[in-house]
Amino acid sequence: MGRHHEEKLRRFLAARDKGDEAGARRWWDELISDNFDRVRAMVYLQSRGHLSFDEREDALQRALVKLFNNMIHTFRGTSVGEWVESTRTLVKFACIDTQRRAMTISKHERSLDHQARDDDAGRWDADVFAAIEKQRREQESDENDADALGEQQAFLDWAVPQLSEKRRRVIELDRADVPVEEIQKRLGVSRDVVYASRSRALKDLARLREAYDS
Amino acid sequence: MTAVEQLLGEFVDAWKAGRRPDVEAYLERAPQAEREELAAQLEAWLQIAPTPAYDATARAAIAQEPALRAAREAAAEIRSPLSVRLPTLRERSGLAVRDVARRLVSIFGIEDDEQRAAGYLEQIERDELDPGRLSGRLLDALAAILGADRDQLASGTAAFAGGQAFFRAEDDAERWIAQDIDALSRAALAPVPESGPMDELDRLFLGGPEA
Repeated sequence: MGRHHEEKLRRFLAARDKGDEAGARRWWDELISDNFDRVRAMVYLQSRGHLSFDEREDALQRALVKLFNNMIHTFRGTSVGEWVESTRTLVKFACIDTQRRAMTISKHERSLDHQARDDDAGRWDADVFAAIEKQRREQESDENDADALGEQQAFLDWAVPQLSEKRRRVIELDRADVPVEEIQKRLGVSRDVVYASRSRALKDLARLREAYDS
Repeated sequence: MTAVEQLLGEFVDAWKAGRRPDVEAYLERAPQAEREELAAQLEAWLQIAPTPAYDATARAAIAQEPALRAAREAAAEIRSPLSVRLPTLRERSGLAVRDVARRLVSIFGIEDDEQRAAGYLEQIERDELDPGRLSGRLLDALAAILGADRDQLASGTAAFAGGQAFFRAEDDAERWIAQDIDALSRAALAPVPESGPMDELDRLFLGGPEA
């Protein structure tokens, strides 16, 4: 995942363990900035077909705010790989949460020409309150699920050894941030072969992920 | 080579080079029938992808991303004390403390307690009431009344404390341990302060997150 990013994570963990809030926040902020594109892409892929453009932006905000404020306290791993895994879980639940919230709002939205009267406001408050209560209970249940996921063995340690030799080598070089030209040279293959092996390896990993999560 | 293999290959190369490829644009380039397959492989890639070593231009562009900046500001606002957040949210909704109190007691069916509810709300805004004692139900109700996201009213983020702080005996450890034990013994022997049973309104404001 990149040695300099592992170093940032190490510095974050050291600062958090010492109770150095400013130091921990500084390194955590850098980790989030470095991974902004990853988070945005994860939100896009997770939410396509389920959320509108505005809702997707809302899900991205929700995920980033939770990264800034919650995961900084709850992250229990020690590697960037685990950080990415936790972020993936967080993004998934941010998208679910956004979808639920969108449903809550659309169910209880008042029309634009609505004239607010006190008795109406009270009824509307009570309806929205009930919906928010329900949403909170579901969210708490999700967070318990997320904790359970975080305790599982790292997915990649389990999945990568199951790939065929060529696919595994391409993926390992990709993970080590080796450029494609260097991968071609080391494996003695063409770019097309690297692309095909990479695609098949990721297809295998996607399939293994489904089995792992179920 | 298939379109998926080609597009994925290009995406991964661009990612590793720190050129910030856009997932949506790559998916749009894929034939309709192969988009799901490409999306699944991109998702798998994002879970193993190294974080790119961005150059200064890319880093500056990321720092200016509106979504990142907005999230950083929102996160900082949520970290401020509830005594600051509550009046801000209330004013954004155009409500006075009394309005919030009236709607609050209406939700919980305790209309006779409007004045006391207003008193409690004022205590929160004056930072005279420990936000850790507020019930989850109360925060949900306030979120409904103020049109806020519940996270904006959460009682506060966990405090930063040394996760691995171990006890180390210093010279006067025995003396302060004795003082602590003495204080605890006196507290244990002291009579319970007089207080009536909590009613519904008290539980909402003082009963803790589960009340």
